[in-house]
Amino acid sequence: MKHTLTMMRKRIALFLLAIIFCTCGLAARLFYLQVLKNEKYQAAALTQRLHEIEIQPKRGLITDRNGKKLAINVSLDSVVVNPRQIKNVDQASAALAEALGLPVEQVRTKLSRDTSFEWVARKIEPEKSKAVRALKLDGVYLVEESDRFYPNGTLLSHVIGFAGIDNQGLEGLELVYDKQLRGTWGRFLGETDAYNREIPGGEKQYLPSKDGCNLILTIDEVLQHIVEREIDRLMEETKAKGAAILIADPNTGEILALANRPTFDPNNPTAVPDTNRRNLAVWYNYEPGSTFKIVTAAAAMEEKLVQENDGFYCQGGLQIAGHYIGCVTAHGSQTFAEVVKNSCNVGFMTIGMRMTREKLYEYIQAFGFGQVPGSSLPGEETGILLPVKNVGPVEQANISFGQGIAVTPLQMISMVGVIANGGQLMKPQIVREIKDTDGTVIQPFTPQTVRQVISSETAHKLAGLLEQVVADGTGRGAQVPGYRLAGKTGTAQKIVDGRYVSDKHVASFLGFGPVDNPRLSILVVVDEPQGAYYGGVIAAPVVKRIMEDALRYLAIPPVVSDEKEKTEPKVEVPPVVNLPLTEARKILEGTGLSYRVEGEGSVVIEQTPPPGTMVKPDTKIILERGETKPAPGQVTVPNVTGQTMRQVAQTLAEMGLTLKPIGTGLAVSQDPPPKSQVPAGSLITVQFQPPAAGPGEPASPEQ
Amino acid sequence: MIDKRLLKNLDYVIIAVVVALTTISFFVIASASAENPYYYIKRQAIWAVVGLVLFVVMLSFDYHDLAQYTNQMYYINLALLIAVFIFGREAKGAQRWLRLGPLELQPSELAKIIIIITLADLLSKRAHSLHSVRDLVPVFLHVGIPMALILKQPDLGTSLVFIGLLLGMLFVAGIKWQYLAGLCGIGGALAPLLFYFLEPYQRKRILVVFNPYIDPTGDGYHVIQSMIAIGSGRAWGKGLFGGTQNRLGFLPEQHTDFIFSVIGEELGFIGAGIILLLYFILIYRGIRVALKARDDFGTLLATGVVIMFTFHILVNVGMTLGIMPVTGIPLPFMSYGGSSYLTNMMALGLLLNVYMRRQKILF
Repeated sequence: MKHTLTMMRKRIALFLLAIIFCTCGLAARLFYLQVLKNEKYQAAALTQRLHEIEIQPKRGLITDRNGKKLAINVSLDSVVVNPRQIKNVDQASAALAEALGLPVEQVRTKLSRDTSFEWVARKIEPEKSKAVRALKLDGVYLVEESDRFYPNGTLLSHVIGFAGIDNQGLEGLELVYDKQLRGTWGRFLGETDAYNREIPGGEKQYLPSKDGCNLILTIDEVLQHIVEREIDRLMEETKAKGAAILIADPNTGEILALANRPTFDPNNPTAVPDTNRRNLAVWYNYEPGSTFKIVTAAAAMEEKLVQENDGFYCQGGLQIAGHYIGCVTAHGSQTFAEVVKNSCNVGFMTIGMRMTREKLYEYIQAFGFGQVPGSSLPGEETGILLPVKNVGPVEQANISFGQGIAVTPLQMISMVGVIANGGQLMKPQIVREIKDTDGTVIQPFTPQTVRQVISSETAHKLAGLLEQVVADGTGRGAQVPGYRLAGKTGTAQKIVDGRYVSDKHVASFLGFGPVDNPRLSILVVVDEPQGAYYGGVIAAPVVKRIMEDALRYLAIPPVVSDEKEKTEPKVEVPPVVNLPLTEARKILEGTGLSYRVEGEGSVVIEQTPPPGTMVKPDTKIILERGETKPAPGQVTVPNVTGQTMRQVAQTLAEMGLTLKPIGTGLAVSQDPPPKSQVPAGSLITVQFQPPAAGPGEPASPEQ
Repeated sequence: MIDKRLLKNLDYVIIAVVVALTTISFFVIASASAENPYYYIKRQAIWAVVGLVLFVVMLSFDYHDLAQYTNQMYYINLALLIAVFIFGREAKGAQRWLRLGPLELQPSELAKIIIIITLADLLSKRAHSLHSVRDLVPVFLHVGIPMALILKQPDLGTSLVFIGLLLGMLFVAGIKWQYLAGLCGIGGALAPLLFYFLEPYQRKRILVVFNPYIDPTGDGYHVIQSMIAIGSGRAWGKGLFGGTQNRLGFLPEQHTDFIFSVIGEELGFIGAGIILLLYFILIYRGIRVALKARDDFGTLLATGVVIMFTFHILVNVGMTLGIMPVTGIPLPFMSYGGSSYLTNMMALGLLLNVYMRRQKILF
């Protein structure tokens, strides 16, 4: 007993030693944490209770030049959960999924995570947030977020682009000017407790957010609406693959309207194929065809290689370095003014060949071709120029009338601006001003002249020639009564696999007006129209309709001779010669004019007064019927395929030929064939078919 | 009831230490329960009074008398532990509580006292015959059966206390060094196996000791927050009621298991060091009781009580310092909670009972 007690006491002493050792260990650890490492833990404690709340800035607005809002912000709720606070995951997932219209599994996955913050749905519709709010679930929160909204849908979508879920610019000007539009995030730094509640009297720091700057575009929303309306109609009528319409101010380079088809809604950009988002107006490289003849004419006139009254003779083609390059028809003897009016390839080849290829290229490049225009719109292309050393006589001849060169619509409208404004190439601009939220101008608008390309004298002369194209040439379809417009049509075959194909065309019209004081330049490009494909047939009427509305909107007064005419409305006498009587009646009734028929026969062979005369609405038009109209001399039969009956009738009438129409719709074949020589007044039988069918026979690339 | 002469034999240093610890605990608990301090303080005050009564009761009889009732105590203990599974109330995933009218009893707490008494009795009778493995088997079963029941609740912390009691008391009772070494060897060998049988949450808690950052928001959270609290307290502390980690709710379980973290944060290295010193004095004086005890039974009783205190202090403080697993063992006389406080007061009564009766008093 005594022995055990002694032994026990010994062991208890050992036990005490162990305890002393352990206690020292704890004290050492305490010393380590509190004295040696306290800085680390002090910092950790501070980070833990300091909470940074980021304050989202409002993204800047995008407006047109008159302040009409094109891109705005709306407040939407986002659903955030703290999975740790969810009491019944299954129940909560099911309820949330139903309210949000999401798959239950997807919601459950997020609610099951071991975190304290999960997005369940971002920027939901107000009805959904109402439904979520009604659920009153613990751990489910609605957070207000600012979302980008484009009130006009597809209007100007290619220019504006769109912003993403975090309000970051992803495309278009939203992307290019993202830095300015974005603004800067604000911060609220405060002390909070473990439950994220702010500590009264705790440390606070507030750095307000700065809202993004507003982007004021050069676009005029009204003009844009007109253009959008017409481009839709154009697509409807031509069933084209694509189209682009541009309106610019030739004096400043400002783009006033820009529309492309196909298009997309920036509120839902992924609903359509990605290719719909291409901004054809800046991206599309196409062969301009006759519209490019403006460049050739400008160069030759500036170099004094041609005068308005110089004589040209067109036999229907030209032999160049062993290659025969055809014209649309044999135009015969013409002045230079007529060459322009008729869009005669032979005439343009002739003047194009009067200068060296280097000289021609100098002008082409001076007009901005082969370079990016620099409008700040993303995706600008340069067009395609052959290297000058590869340009032989055939290539030079082709380029002279717009073949063998690719350009973009934006380059073309800048080019025509040079003719309109007196010779200066203006840099195209899409952003007019950038203003901060106080209205202070951050970036003012200044028109930028790239260079003087031609003298103002040359520009004015050429403008006069182009006015004739609209008044009395291939561009007649663009005439707006009472206004002096200038322009040029273009029709180019497309190249597929390195060869020109006869059934794919790009039709265009490039013009400006009013000629004496140009305010608007305009370009309509139609890619692969079905049926009629001539620029003068399908693009010119679009220009007419747009210019009519645009000029009226801009309150540009029509040119009138006296007060009486101004007050009394006048009607333009339509061309009805060569049309069957029924057709002619229909047209006249459409204009409100009355008529009197004389003679016998199936078609109208003469009309009094002649087409284009401005008359009072109640004027009687005298129509003379007959079979053919005798006329002296030989005439070359033009190619009329693809034209409407009215246009065919008009074309033939001008050449002194008589139309015998068969069927309705667009011309598909003719007898005798194009380029054959017939006596003036001969009967040309033309077969018409409704436009659904494609164009019948291959046509020369020019109209 | 108690002879006046016996009162002279009380260890007033121990009593002073416990009074000091209890007093400090009121302030710390008040600071640690920012939301509703009076609720916790009031309740803890009631436990202190009840504890004092139990303490006096535990002093009032001669501890030698306990030896007669060890069998009854042992079986009542088993019955209570089994009753927990049948009538017990579940809280935080474990069945530990037994409702007796308005009172709630935690049989695993009472089991500690009972096992100290019955094991001390068992070992004192066999102290001279712990020479063969055969002698050890009944001892192991004696502790093993209630321990298994507690482990099943599950209450890993209390089960570990039993292992501590068994090994510590066997050591003092004179188990051969070879056996002790063998036991440790077997224990070491069995540890991986035991680890395998642990619940996944218990396993993670052990792994987290080695690196709390493997699960900083889950099991590691408690340890990380405790270390941040203590470390940021620095030498002098942030002042009572001034601890940011404690007051702002970052520190979990701050009025119960992690009360020492609050001390570390608010009272600094100085304050926490003083608390550690008080505990050391308590343990040292407890050991002195064991050394001065009149007989084997008394020595082993005192040893058991000291082991229980020591185990709780080392594991709890070690846990708050990030060097022991989080097992839910409260800090004696500091942590808020009735069961723990009452158990410790009873154990204290037992300890001083042994000390008070160290001499044969002649009447």
